[in-house]
Amino acid sequence: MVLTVTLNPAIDKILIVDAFELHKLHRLRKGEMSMVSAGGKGVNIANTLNKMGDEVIASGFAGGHAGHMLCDAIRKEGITTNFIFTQGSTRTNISILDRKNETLTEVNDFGQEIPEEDISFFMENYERLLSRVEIIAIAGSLPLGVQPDIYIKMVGMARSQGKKVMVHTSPKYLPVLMDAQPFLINPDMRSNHSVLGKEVDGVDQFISTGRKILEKCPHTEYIIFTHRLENVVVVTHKKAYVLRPRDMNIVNMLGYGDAYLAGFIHAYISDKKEREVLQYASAAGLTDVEDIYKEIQDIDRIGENLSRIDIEEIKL
Amino acid sequence: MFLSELSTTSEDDKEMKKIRDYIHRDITCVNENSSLRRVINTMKLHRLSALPVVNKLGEYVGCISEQDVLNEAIPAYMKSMYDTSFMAGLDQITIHLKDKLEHKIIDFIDNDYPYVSPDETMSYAADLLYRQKGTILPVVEDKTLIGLLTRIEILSLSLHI
Repeated sequence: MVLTVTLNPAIDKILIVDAFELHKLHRLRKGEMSMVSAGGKGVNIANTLNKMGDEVIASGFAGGHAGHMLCDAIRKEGITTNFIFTQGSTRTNISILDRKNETLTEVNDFGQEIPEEDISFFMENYERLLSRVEIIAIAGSLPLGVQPDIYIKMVGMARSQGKKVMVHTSPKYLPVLMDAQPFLINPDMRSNHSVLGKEVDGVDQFISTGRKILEKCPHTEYIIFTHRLENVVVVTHKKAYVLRPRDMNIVNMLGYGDAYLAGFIHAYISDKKEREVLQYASAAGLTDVEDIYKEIQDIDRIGENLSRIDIEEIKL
Repeated sequence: MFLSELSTTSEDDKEMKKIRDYIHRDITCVNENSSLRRVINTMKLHRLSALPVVNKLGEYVGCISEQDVLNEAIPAYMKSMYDTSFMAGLDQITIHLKDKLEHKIIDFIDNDYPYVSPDETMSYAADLLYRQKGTILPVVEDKTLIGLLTRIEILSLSLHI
């Protein structure tokens, strides 16, 4: 069983508007689309894991009518929900995808503010859930009212029960994550390329940054930089890997990082070897970007795409 | 006659609808040490008329319903009056309840509240809900809460025959 934690989930509204322009009224025409779905990184991971056949509990904070919509949509997929509802309302994130100009415009709301007593209710609930799961995936941003040290508490509780935590969040939380030392850190660098106060890009910099982090984090086993799809860099204490998909045809980048992590978790709990886990994760990411939807539609395609992932191993 | 007896005579065991396929897979619950304030707030925000209660180990121990809370809210002397025309103002109930908001719910839990296992039949669940006048039925597997059955889940079965 996998527990996903989405502290700041959202209703995702995706509009496919070709030739999108500012200062203009757009009416969706035939072939254009409007899609509404449950979102937030942890929720996307839960959905993909569920499609892969894994049992999942989705948790986090939710609220209001949108919160009920979110939970209904998640349960409809067959996932167990355990969100803590608060007075505020779950946010809506809007993405506008323009296929003609090949642009993606995103507006993410900041979401509800979480009162202190709801945070303690959440933590008490989280600690209880740990006994039912093997892996915990904490993904996405922190809502207002929740301090970054929640990562330290959550990872600490999980570790004391022998459970592994994977964290996918903004690199701005790296200092606190290095205190928490989860099993896996996957910085979400879509809007922030600065890692520990330095702009980081390119295979060499990713490897050296990953090593620097791992030197101070004996409990952490993986640092994964998925930001450059053509060069996914994975750093462990002994080795680094660079994974390169061949002949990528990117259609929609939405949900790439979430598909990657879901692929990693699925392969990891299926007891696959390290190389196979990494290849499967990259193939899941590749499969996701090659169609228009934010989530993988046909899980079998991941297997078909495995042979398109080249893997380079570097001894450290 | 109980509903469950009705269906066992008319249907082959294999064709019986199992609870497992109809569970409302939400495991919202409170702890025995949660406060009454938390319970009322959770019922309100989650739109639930009763909440499953678990112990520290996460094992199901019972339920607390709106009715249980109301029973606590009404001052003892009022309970002896059967006619509501003797009731004092609503204020007396709400003030009485307000004083109890920080109490732990451990003493108010209905430990005999019925629950079902996922392998039982929907007709058994329907029968329980009908006789107990409960609004939800917790679904419990190996002491672990895995979801709920609500009245509407059972009623809406009729829509798909």
